[in-house]
Amino acid sequence: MILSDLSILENKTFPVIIIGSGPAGISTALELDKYNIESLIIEAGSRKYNEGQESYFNGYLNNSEFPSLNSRRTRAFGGTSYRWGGYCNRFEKEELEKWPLTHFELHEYENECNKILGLKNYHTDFYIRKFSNELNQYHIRFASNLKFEEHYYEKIKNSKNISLSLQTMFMEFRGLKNNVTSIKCKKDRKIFEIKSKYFVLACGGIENSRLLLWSQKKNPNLFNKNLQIGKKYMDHSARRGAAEGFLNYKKLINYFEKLNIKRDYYIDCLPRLYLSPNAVFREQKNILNTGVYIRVQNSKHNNPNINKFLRKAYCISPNFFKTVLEEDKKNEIYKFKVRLHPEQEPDLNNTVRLSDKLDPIGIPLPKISWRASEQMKLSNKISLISLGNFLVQNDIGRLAIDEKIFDINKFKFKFNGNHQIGGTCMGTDVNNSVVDKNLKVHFVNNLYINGSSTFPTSGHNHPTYTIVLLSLRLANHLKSKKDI
Amino acid sequence: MYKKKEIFNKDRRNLLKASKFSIILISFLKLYPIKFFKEVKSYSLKFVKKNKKVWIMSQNDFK
Repeated sequence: MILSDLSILENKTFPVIIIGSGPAGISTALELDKYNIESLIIEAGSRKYNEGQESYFNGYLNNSEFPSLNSRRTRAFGGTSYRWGGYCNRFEKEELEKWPLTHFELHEYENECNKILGLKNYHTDFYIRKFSNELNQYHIRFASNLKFEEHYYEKIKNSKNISLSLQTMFMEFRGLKNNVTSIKCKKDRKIFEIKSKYFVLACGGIENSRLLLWSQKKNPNLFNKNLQIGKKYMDHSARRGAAEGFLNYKKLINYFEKLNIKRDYYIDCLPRLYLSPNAVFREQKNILNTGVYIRVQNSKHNNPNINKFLRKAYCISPNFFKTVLEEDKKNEIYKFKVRLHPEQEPDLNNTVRLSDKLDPIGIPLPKISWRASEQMKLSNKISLISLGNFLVQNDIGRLAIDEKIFDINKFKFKFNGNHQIGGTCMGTDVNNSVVDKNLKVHFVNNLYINGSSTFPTSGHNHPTYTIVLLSLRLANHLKSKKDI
Repeated sequence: MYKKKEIFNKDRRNLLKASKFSIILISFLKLYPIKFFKEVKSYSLKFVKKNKKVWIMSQNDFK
């Protein structure tokens, strides 16, 4: 149901209050609803996204490689699903070794997750597989329930167990030592205090750290001083135009067939190919994971103008390119572009802190200190060389890499800021993390944090799928509580 | 006479062994025909700078 007046809740104690109505908050509430557990969702925005919310999202950055902070976050029902591309892929088993969760514990609720995101054509045996000696291939799936507002607003409106309060701004957590008792929030210029047994903070990567830091400052007795809030902030860059090249489509298909891959599987991926260096290669070269996304520009997709591209490179080796141009006459040669999605390692120097300037409701705006490491730049270079090596070895095509990638001093990342990861990291070591594997804040008995801010490593994958998995796991953990 | 028979049997046993080996060999070749006789292609990479791009080519491309 939709709540318009919060004064009726003064004497009520909810079992669960969820702050934020993004994919994390909605998935948790929907799963709790299955078990008839009542929850209240608080959303600062309205049902639809309105422009002009920059005053809430402004912040300070120390690095020009990062985009403006007010262009990548959304205050509306459905959260950032409003601008989500629908990419779903999961972490590798080897990547989860650094997490306090096992692969099974994380993917236990995969079927429910697929239903929430509307995922179809799911080939479990083909999620990730060997592509070459050094590269793996991913099967990225696209969610059909893209915008949560379109799919879940009516469901939540008609639900008996889920209450939703829009345009309600969270201000701080209140409570005694180790126990949160209520939250302070603002709606229609009035301030309310709402009580609950359990609290879930699910406001997004930067907001989770900012609101927790602010609550810690306001109530120093409630939170432990040593909590690493706001540290190990990570993001994904999207390095478009990192490389381009050409390939013989027929030879690529033959390569797939040689690997005994069913046509249904590989044809589903083309004209896109998602590759990344495998765990053994990463360990050998001491590099981070990097998503190498190839987009083949075939006749159905864009006008490839491959002839012009090949003629520009003709003088490198006239004899070789003469044969390639002849193959092009048979329409076998296609141009492709490569986009990189590198993993960023958790670094204590990359932080979200509170600045001196305040937003319209009096909470300090975030200040982000962030830099890309040399290991990230090296990982990009080695992953691309590995792709070039594969193309040469199998004589499928050739790759031309942007020369800036070879020069670490010139190379600059263009971060998209869409995947805000870390800040309230998950871990077993109390001095090195903020939440445990059940997403409960260390030393606080009834406060949970949900979303990509809890990821201990960023991987190169799109985070939404894992966010929904963690939300379902959290709901099932809350269900097991005796006092709910 | 006895000796002759023994030699004959011995030869027949050897012949049987040989035929078994040839059957195994033929079936192996049927299974892995290319891998067994495939020539190993040698190649080495060559990095060529052109139009602000570094091309990854094979040494064989320049022959």
